[in-house]
Amino acid sequence: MGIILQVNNITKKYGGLIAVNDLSFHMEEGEIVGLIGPNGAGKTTVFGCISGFSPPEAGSIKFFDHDITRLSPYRIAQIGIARTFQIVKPLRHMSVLDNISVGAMALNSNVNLAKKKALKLAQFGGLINKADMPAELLTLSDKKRLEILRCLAMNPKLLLLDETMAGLNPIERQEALYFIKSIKASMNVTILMIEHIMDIVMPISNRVVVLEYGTKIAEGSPNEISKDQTVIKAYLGESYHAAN
Amino acid sequence: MEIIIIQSIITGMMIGFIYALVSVGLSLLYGIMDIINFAHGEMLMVGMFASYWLWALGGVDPLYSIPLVGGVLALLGVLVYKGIIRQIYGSSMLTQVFATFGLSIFLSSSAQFLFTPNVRAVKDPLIGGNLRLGEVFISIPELFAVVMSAGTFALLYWFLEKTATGRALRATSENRNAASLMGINTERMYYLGWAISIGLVGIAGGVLASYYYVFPGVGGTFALMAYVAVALGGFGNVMGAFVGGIVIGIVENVTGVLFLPVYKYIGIFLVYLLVVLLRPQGILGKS
Amino acid sequence: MKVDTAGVGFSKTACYKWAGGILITIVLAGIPLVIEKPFATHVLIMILMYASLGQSWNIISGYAGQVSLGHAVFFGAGAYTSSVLLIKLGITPWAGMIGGILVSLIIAVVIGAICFKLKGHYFVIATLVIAEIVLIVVSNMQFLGGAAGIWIPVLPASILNLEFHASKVPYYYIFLLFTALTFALTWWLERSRTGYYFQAIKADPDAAQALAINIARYKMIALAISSALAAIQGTLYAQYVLIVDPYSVLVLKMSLMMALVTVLGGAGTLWGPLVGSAILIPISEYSRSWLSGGGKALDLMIYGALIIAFAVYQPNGIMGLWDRFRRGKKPAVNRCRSEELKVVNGHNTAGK
Repeated sequence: MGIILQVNNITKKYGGLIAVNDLSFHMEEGEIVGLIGPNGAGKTTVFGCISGFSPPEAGSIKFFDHDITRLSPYRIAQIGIARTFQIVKPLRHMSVLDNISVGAMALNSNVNLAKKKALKLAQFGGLINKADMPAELLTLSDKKRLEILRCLAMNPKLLLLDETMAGLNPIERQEALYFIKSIKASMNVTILMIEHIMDIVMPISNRVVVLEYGTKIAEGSPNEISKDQTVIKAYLGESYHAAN
Repeated sequence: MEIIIIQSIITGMMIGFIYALVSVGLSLLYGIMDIINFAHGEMLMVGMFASYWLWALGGVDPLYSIPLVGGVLALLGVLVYKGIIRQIYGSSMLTQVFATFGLSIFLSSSAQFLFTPNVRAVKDPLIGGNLRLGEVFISIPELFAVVMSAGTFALLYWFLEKTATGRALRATSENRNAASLMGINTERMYYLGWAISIGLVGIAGGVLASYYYVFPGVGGTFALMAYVAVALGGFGNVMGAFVGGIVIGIVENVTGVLFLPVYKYIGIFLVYLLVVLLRPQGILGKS
Repeated sequence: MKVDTAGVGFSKTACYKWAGGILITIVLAGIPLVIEKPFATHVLIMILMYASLGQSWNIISGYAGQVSLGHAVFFGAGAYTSSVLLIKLGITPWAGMIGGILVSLIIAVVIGAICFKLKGHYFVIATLVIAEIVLIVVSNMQFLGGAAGIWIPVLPASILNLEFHASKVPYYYIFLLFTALTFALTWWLERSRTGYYFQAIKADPDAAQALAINIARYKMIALAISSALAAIQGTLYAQYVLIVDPYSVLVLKMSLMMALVTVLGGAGTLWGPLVGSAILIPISEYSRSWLSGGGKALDLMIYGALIIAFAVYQPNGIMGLWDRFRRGKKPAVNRCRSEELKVVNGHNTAGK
């Protein structure tokens, strides 16, 4: 499998604060990689760098063979990287169907074809009964589902999921997990998932990258990571580590 | 020639203090609520008319009615917040813009309807006349305006820096969510913000009534100057707005004297565009 | 925005829509034959003009969400350009209209380049400020007649000259034609990808970018279309009143009127500008003629109060009210969806 994403030594600063510090990792086609770390670790900032919303000051990002470091967000979406937002951003006054259709229109200027595709996706995502509902009236769980469907409508090669599970109750989380698995099963897509909660991301990731204060502190299989002392310390603090 | 320029700088600076007072309210409100009050100029006009009618019908010199007008307008600010702004807060940009713009239209046209477009002026106010400092003339009402403005601003600044309520207001201005998490009643801050903002405009109006022309459209120009001053100082930056107002006053007057009066507005509007394009945080704002 | 996602042209709703459309067309075409007072015809013409102007504003501000308070510059550009071309070069207003559109497009590009970098209130104030600059500059240019403006020469009445003297009715039909074209264009836009992109930009610019939308480009397209439509009305207006002066065509009040009819009727809807215009313009015209002096302010008072009321209670305007009324009758679950899906997935189900 080829390398789909290569993040090379990126650094992102906000004023004097270093949000991401000399970060490097890569992803292979077809993987699900989890990007985890405690709050404030810089995970969403990394997404901002990859998706073009907040380009890094130093380093480079390559998507297949393209250097995408300085590309604008819409260009990056055009070449096949789709992202969700941590604070969900539905196209509020537009219907669920229209939301997904706009995504489909990235590949096809024909509105009717885009809508047909959107209908199928809505059914796939379990939102078909709410197709005409204005997006702002959906529950949080549905809004997050919608945002993923919107991404899928663009036939992305790389899907960036930003804390899809945040704010969902345990039942909704299981549904979301199942949904992500079904995406992987039915489409050829590589997924980079940010998650704050270890229990969610471990079951489905092939690999995990752990950030703390903007720096990568560990990388490996879920099994390795769950036993890694540095990671445990980062999440649970010194006292836990000392106690064990 | 130098005298003319010095005179225009001084005159400009003096009207600038009024712009400053008007701008501070606008900036404060934006900082707290992210709302531009497009009716700000019309509120000034209301203050001026209130002061005028108190004189014309009640014989009260504008000088004495300043605190009253300030208080009445502060109340008006509270009513506007309660009746209109509270409902549209968080709505789309279009709704927010048109809510206050609608109010602006309503106020200026009501004034025109009730009072006719005629220009009025208070005759023989208590504060009048000119001082002469060497070659330069200083109008006493305008000097008084400077003193009132500076004094009021000093009071506001002290309030914002030294009192608990004032600090709460500033906290709300910097980060609404954090402030509310810290236990600050943001709703109350909004009421307070509107009361102070429009109250300041009321004081400015009362001061202006002594020597400025009073007519329904008077708010328009002041509002435009205020937008530019607030942009210069950085939206939300109260000190910046004050300084910005003074700067605008000087720029307006000096360009009016050096070039054709017509071009002074163009100059000021170009200043606005340059500032928001090149340095959106304002000249005094932080990067 | 109500889009007919049922798609099938001969359903009951579609039949009603077609019938309604034809009825409206007959009524609009026949009105001047029934009403004979010139003032009433004038009011109708003004309703049409403001409906078109409102629609032009609607495209950039209602659909694409970039609230402009300086739209009068495009109206003025059209009016002045065609008039100057007529006076100086004897060019027919129809060609002048094209010239007006070009000038308007150039202005749109400049304004877009300056203003689209700005967000939120900064943008709104910038449009205000630019409009004021244009007003000041134009009212001081002798070439354009200064503050007094330009008089369009009275020429023999003809379609080529776009002047009619015996009656206003021919003007009515010309305005009607262009209003219909403006609305048809907007109707088409609503259903095109461009229109959807406008709405996405309005809804959430960041999400729009993440959906591969080049927001800078589409904002510019919206402004360009918008400006061209306004310029067309400018030329028609100039030929109707035969005078173009800055304090009529370039003032804030003009920009406000264009916006108000749409905001009241429902920004971002197809019929909003027409509905708003049909309500506000008669108020304006009749109050001006009945009450001299204070009259000019009375219509604004009513507008101001209406705008505040709608902003607070019904931000989606009159069309929003109508929409709520209609939606109250629809079932919550959309049953037709599963039927559509069967067609989409290739099953041919017998029956309806």
